[in-house]
Amino acid sequence: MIRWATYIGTAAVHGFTRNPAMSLASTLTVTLMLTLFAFFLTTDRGLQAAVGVLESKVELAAYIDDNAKVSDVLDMKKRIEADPAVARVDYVTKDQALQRLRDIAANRPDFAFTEISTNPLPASLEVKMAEAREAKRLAQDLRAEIGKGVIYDVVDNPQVVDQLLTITRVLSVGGVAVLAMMLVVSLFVIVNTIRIAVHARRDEIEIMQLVGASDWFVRWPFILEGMIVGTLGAVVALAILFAAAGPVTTVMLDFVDILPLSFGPEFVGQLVASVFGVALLVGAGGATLSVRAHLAK
Amino acid sequence: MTRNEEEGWPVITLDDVSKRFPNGTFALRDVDLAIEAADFVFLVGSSGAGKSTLIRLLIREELPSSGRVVVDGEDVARLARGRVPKLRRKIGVVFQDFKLLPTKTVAENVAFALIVTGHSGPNVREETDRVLSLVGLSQRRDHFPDQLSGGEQQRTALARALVNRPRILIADEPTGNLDPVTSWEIIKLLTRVNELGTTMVMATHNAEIVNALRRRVVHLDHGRIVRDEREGQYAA
Repeated sequence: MIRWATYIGTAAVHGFTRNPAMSLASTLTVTLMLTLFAFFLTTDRGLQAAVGVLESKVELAAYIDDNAKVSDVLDMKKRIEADPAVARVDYVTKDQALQRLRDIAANRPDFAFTEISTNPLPASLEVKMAEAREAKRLAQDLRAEIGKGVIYDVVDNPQVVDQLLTITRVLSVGGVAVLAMMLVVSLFVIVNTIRIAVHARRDEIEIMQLVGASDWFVRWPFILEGMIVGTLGAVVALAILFAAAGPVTTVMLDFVDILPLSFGPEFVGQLVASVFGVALLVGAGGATLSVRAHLAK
Repeated sequence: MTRNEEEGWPVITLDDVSKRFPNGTFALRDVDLAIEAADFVFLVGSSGAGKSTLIRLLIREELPSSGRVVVDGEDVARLARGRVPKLRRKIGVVFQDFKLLPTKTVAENVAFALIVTGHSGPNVREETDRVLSLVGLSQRRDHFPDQLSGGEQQRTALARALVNRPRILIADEPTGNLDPVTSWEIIKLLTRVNELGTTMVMATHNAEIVNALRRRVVHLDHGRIVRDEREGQYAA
């Protein structure tokens, strides 16, 4: 067991050091891929946080006809609440609406409030969305109710969310596309690095097979070498990311100070695990492909 | 004790075996051959007669185009890929060009065959020492192949082939690169290994050795067995 492990470990390290230029090239490629991957994960998490904050602010208001029966309004409220995309529905009566206006006026010196005898403000159902992307659909549903005795107007303002969702979607698709390309390039480079290592040790492999070494025994040193490349790439990528995290966050906060961009230890843990996971998978996968091609000859 | 360990049972059987290459030429044609346990068989014939192909079939480096090759009870064509290593551990192979690893010492080259087949611990050292003393290389254990004579290199290769205690030893032109005196040293070792119970199959062009040993001779010509004699000569 110990000799076995020693043999595999030594062979893997020799493979890596025997051809430093190629090993360095593949490590750098993997580093680049992983840096992009980590950056993508972080940005995605940041945008999702931003979307979450904005989503919680998205509201729809359905103004209630003054002549609507309270029971009908409550039915409508229940109906809207039943929608899974809805977080909460508040029934704001005419009096409450007027009181709000008074409160706002009281806090704004530039806003004079004239006492009026009648209340021109309508009652409303204020809808808080759980899923902002559904706001448009719900607004359309409610608009269909206009003129049927309960709702006479619907106000929604989903533009900000729409834009943000579009950005997120573009970034997701673009990010995944770039990542996929980088993944292919990394695999390609690792496959070639390991192919060179396999070629350098082809006599040894021939003898191993001749004396009855299992295919796994032949493969392991190369898989380990691929994993060394991946691990080094991951370490460098994370080092770059953490070194850059401070300044970048500062700039980002200056730029978009409303976004609550802070990443807790949980996210950092996930990030490190993901980066290492991808690194090991790409390293071991590329090596396996390369050795399999050789063994199949 | 399996039946193959008893003398007289075939440990190698070729049953109507043909090997046809993609270009259409036959390397072997309708070959029937049974080799009994502890037998010593010379494969003779001119270059291209099919000796090396036959050997490659036995160690499953090639598969027969038709017919059955059975080695130690295993039909090699039907053997799952994962079980090929197990078959190879039962067969020691020695080549004309030795195939030693230049960066490893004599002892390391021999121990390599144990380590890569999953052996470890003091066992590796003991078995390595055992075969090195068998081939008379105990004093040379820490030398590298380029510090050895041709005969010593072949003895190292032989030690490596024997260290896993194979049931069959296959030698493909083992004396092809050696001078006559050294060749005889190797042949003496091979006959000794055979006397200890290992089945020997040796392809050779060395008429002097074949004629002196008077063992079974299987003569191949254009992929067919044209002669199979119990106490044969190199040429009929």
